[in-house]
Amino acid sequence: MLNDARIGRLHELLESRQISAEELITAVLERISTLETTLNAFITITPEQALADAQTVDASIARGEAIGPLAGIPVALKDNICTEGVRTTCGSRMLEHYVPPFSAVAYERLRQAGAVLVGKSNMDEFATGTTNKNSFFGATANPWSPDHIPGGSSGASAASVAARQVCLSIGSDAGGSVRVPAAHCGVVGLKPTYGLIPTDGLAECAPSLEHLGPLTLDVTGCALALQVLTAGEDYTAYLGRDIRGLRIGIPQEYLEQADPQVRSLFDSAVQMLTGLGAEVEETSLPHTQSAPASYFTISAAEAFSNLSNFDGVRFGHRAEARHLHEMYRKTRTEGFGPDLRRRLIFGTLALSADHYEEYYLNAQKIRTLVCRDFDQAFSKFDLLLTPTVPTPPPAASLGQDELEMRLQGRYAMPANLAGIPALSLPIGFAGELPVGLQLLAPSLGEGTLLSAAYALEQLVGFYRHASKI
Amino acid sequence: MQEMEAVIGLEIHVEMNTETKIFCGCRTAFGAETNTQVCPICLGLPGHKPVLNQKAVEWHAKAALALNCEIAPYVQFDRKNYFYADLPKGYQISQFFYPMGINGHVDIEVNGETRRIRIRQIHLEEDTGKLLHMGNITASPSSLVDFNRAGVPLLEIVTQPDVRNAEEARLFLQKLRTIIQYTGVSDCKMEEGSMRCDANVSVRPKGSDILGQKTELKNMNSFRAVTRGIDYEIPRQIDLVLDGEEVIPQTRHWDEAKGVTRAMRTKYLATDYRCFPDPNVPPFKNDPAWVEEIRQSLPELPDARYARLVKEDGLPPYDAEVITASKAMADFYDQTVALVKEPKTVSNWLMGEVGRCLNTAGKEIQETALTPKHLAELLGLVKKGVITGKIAKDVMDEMFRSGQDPETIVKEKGLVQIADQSELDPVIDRVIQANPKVVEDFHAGKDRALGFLVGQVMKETRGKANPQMLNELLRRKLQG
Amino acid sequence: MIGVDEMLQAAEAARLEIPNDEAGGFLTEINRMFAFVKESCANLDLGDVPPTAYIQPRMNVFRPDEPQGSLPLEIALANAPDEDERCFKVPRIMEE
Repeated sequence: MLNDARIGRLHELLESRQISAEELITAVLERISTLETTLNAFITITPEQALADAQTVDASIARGEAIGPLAGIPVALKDNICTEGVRTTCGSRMLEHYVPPFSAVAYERLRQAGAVLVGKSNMDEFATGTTNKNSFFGATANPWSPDHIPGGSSGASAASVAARQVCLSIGSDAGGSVRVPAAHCGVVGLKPTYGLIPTDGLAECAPSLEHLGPLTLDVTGCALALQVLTAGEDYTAYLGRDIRGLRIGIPQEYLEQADPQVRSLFDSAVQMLTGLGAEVEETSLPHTQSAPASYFTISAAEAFSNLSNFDGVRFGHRAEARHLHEMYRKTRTEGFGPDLRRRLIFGTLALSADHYEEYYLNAQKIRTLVCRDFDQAFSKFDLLLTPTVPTPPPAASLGQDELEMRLQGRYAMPANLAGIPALSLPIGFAGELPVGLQLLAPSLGEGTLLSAAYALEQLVGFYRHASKI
Repeated sequence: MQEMEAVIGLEIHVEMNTETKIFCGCRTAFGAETNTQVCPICLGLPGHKPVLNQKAVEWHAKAALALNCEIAPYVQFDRKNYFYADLPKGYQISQFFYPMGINGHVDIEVNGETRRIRIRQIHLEEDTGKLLHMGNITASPSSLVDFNRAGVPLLEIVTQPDVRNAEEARLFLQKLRTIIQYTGVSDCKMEEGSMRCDANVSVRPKGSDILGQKTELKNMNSFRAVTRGIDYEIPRQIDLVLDGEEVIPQTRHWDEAKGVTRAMRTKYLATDYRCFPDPNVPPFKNDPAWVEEIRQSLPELPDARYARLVKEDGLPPYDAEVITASKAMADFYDQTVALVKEPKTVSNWLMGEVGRCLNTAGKEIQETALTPKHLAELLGLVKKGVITGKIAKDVMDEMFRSGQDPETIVKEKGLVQIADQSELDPVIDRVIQANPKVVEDFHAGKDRALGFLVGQVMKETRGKANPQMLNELLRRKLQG
Repeated sequence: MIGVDEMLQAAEAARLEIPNDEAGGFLTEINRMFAFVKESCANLDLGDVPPTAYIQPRMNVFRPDEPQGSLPLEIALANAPDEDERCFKVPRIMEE
């Protein structure tokens, strides 16, 4: 049943009553428990609620009611997406026992559509990381090769889709956190236009950069999920369109650091697009190299402030202390891991009176330049095409150099600075490890993005491969 | 000896009367059970998203315009970062870089001269929660936090350092309160904390342009506390300077019981708030047409009303000032005058009898059962001679208590004036007979004797005798 | 380049401690980050570039002044590490 776990196919099986939602959820829960010792993709699993929800969907089907495309579909939510009554940890000791009193809007929409929550995905603590090693609940492995990282910070979200533990997972993406793991795990990951999916109920670090996005096995699943998450249009209408004449730019700055294997897969994808009649042309986004500095600074500055509510007063971890001030310091030092604390201190410094102009303000100015680059490029092109990540997934034993690891997200960050939609599509293998490419569109250009990704997917057919474990 | 002067800037916080908080739908009712007006947004729970209350923005504009401010075309909310137990998010959302109201002023009358106190800015921000200590803050082994107040929309009004002494501060605050009460934006009750005032105080040689080191006075919870606090702080600083010592820039708490200002521990107070634009709250632009609309919606403000009462109604300036000090009182006045067309009589009554009743009850006029219609009717009864002025005061007491109309009261209590000679004659005769000694005194030329006899008749008639008729009859009988 | 004292002051402002065994590594990484940002700005003329704080075109987002209901007290306090008398309880404010 789960060999081909694309949402569209499972929906057909459910609708035609070839399988029941309960069977599907049972199969998924079994698969989760089998694979968890290797993958560690979940922080919390919700079997009872999932089975109950599945039965509700089955009852609805039995009554002959029409069901939506996500009804009965097993879903995982990254553990920074608040779920009323279900523990939400952000991968942090700080929230080890936190049960939110309200749900994220995105989750409410999924529930309304009949999607079945089976668990909360592991993640880098408070979404700070590109490895998924940075979780209080342990690292997540890459399902194609457990010795390699799945990427981060939504690493487990991507891994659990790739490993068919779920058919859909929702990740968050402030600087590539959906797309980088999507590329490393061989799944489709979309970061839509800023604000298109409401982030209410997302326990985020950097609100000006933060997005929610779906991870799925294929582009159709992505389009189906996007419709529900945005409470918007039917994005499947864009699939299967002719892309002849589509103007696609390839910014040269995005190829400079690319690994040769990534480069050659990228080139073959370019040929496919050309073959489909797209007009592919080189272009330049001159401020690309400066984007990471802007992203690092803004995200850290916002995180410093945004995580100040973790003070041990109203919720979360509290350390024993003699007085309030000591309680703050001890609580936050015990509750937050070292990488996060270091970033918060960097953010504190970047906003301090002595450094505000040189760091925080300059970062915002670079942000302006990055936005202008895109504005110019999209005056000539419908889409831009880049590798998602410069390299295939690194080995888990590597990655001690923090800055280097964070620069894995360098191709992804500009889209967050500009708020434009970006999708990572798997295009092939470097050895046994997946590689993705990234399509970028102007704001609200999700339709074009999906139609080009779908056309390419028809040729690549990556979803037909099953991850090793 | 060098003559010194004080330079004072005021920061006034005013809680708005909106139904709900600035960024969430929790109510703002005063005195609710602790932590029952809270939600994920005002508790700052992970994942909360604030959404701005439109009414708060409108009222902000209204208050700013009433205080003669310009309305900025672009307004942005920023985060002011610091940690404190009453601050849910670790930052306060405020308008730091682009406040909405700028460059305003309030004119006050000081010793017959007009002084203009300039307002640097009026910005909108969120209030904090409330700390409840077991005992006082120093001794308490722990504190409790109630977040009902967290997120109530708060106006912060920042003056230029134009205030020179405690009296000016008091006059400014009273005027400010009156203006804001007129707009309906806040009830400005210092005792309930819906109006709070901090003062930045420094001293310098008189005539100098240089500002001295300033201290910030906090915890002044009444007009009296503000004047006392400033009156304490100025000589304290002058003494320091004259002794060749330095004024340490610090926050000082006013200790109401001891009547002194005291330095707060400063070790962990933030000195750098790391303000930056709040990415959760989109900025907004103000359409000039909208600003004009708000301006048009402003009621007649105290200065204009004062001028009208003096010029058109012919009230003495003192009366006009007292009447216009409260919008409710001024409205009451206008409505009563519309009915009886005798401004001075109405003013006399409001400042006299009504004022006395209000003082006794400790209430504002809008909190009582008294209505302009009833007051007008009462004045009509006096004018028509149905009741005496003295009786009218008793009727007023009753109207105050019960809210009944004066005619009913007069009827039910039999208070109608006795202006019938046949009714008064026997009473007067009785009084004259019973007081031969006093009658003697009268004939001996002692004026007070007549007054005594009038009093006795009034007593017997329970104040209902028409005073003019009584005087005349009595005199006639004594002399006849 | 920032020094250890400045880093510790910032940590204090963020209410964080840096254990001794972490301090050296923290300082190195933070200074690397500062150097990286500085280098990224080095060849740019940022003088006249306006800063971007908001990328969304959405402005003037308001809600009406209408009550939406609050949390029941027991839910509001459910996650409180310590509570008393229907309030959140915190350790003493003053240090001595």
